[in-house]
Amino acid sequence: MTTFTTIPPHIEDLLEKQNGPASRRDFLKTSGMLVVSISAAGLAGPLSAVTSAQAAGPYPDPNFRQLDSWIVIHENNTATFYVGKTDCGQGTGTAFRQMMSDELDIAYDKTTCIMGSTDVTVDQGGSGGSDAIQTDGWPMRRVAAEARRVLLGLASTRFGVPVDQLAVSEAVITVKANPSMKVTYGELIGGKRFNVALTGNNIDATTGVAKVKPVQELKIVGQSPQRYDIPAKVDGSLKWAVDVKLPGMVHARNVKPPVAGAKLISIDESSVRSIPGFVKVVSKGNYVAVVCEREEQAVAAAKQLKVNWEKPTTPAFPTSENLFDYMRSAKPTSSQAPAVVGDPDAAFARAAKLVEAEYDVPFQGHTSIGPAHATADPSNGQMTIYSNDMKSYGMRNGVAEFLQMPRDQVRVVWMEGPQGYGRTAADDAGFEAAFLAK
Amino acid sequence: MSTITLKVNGRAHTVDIEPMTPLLYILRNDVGVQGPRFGCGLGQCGSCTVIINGAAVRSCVTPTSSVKGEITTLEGLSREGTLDPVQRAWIEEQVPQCGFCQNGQIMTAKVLLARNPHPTDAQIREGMAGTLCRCMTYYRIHAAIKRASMLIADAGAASVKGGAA
Repeated sequence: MTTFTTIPPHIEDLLEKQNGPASRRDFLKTSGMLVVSISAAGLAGPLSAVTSAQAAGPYPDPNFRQLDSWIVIHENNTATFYVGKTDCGQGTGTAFRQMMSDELDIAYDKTTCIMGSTDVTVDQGGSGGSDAIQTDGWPMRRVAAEARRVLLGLASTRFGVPVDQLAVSEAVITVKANPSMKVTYGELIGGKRFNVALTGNNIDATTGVAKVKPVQELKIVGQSPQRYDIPAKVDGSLKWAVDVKLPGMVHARNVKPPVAGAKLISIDESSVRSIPGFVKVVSKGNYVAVVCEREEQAVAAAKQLKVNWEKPTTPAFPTSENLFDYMRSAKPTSSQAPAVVGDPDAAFARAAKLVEAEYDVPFQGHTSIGPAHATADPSNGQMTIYSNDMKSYGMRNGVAEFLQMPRDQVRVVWMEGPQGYGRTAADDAGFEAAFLAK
Repeated sequence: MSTITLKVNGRAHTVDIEPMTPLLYILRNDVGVQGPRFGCGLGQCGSCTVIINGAAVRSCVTPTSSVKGEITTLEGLSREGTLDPVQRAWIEEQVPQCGFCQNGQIMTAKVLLARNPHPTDAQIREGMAGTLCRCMTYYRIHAAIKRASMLIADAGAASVKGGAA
């Protein structure tokens, strides 16, 4: 267990489960440094600079060009996949496990998947655009295929038999000619590092040497296993982002202006000072929040706080009645020419009857069933944010910039939440929690 | 502040609180259960539902001091590691999408089935109408209630059989 900050044991368990005595971060750090020492072998000077830069903060970016950043094989012949996506409730975590298990040749139920925690999973940008499987699934498949290739190579060396004379099934490699000669993935590399460099100009292009399997050879993909996250959501045992509790934690609530674009004039702090557990009012620019010891106290204080706002002379948004006129007359910030196939004008001219209609579609709010929320821990001069943000990496980088902290001192730990359908893409709540915590 | 004793999932918890505090905060922050969740805070969505005296109660708008009787939360539905038939049905039908509201769906369905073990489609729709899901899992919720109804009937038949043997 790492000790540099106070994080809830269940998160620590989740992130470090099955990683043996060394933590995931130590595992990655050492792995990354080894690569640095190899690639910088001819450059005595820069090496020390690179390693000291890595040592500056506890949360450097996991290197996506290292196999160890994606897959860990454990001594008990199970595997953990570390992927840089989050599962907004569509079961993508289950799908990632299917895809990677298939390429690695390991039973689905012998694997786990850890997602979206910026210090232990590679930056795949988080989730959005419904492209997790079609885009981000590819590097996952390729790295799993590469791990299988490396394991076959290790078995080949161990048995003195060429790879093409080996068979692999459910994480056990056998010599085809003599099936009594067999070795498990766990026996070959369990708890140890692959130390295999990957290539690719960007994370989506990450690849090893191995090719992915042809579709006909996929056995787990195409099945419909039950989603692994559902039982804990049904029996009440899942720890959601909103369940994080830290020692000495306080609660804050935002106080929003009555209309968009209003300017903060003054705050009457004496209006809430008598509320039990009141800690302080925090304000910067037009941002106002109250902080109290207990949740219900913060809720009460946010309602009770007297704030003087100046409404904007021109409303920032149109009224609902004028919404569609406003939308039609608004100048687009960007526009794209429609893709035209054939000759629509000629087709319309030939039509027997032309039907014309206009449709107005109301705004569909990106609102989730629960309020935006996050918990920020500023212990030891670092910043850890527990959040259900779909894009934990965007939040992490944004918070670092916003608070002017080095990126490697900030991390976002992704946990489940009421999904936002876009609302939780580098969500404000994480920024606000971090700002207040600091 | 005053001292209040709450019985939650078979255990007594004594808390020193402002008595008008909504039950939800006390359950989550003092008693330490996390099944009920804050959704809307206005008693309109159902995410915070608990069962008190056989009724589905929205804990976000229930003053703690008004609670008379034992509180059952989502965690309290299972007995010694055995899931309630409603929970089993929820897994078998793979109901949740994000799952945040499902506490309210399961607890409301539990009360619905306790009062009416064989609800019609219309009765299910009516009984669940005020429990909201932003992911639109209503059809799977409906299917799971039908399945739970069958599981409960099967369990009843099995226990009658077992009793006679």
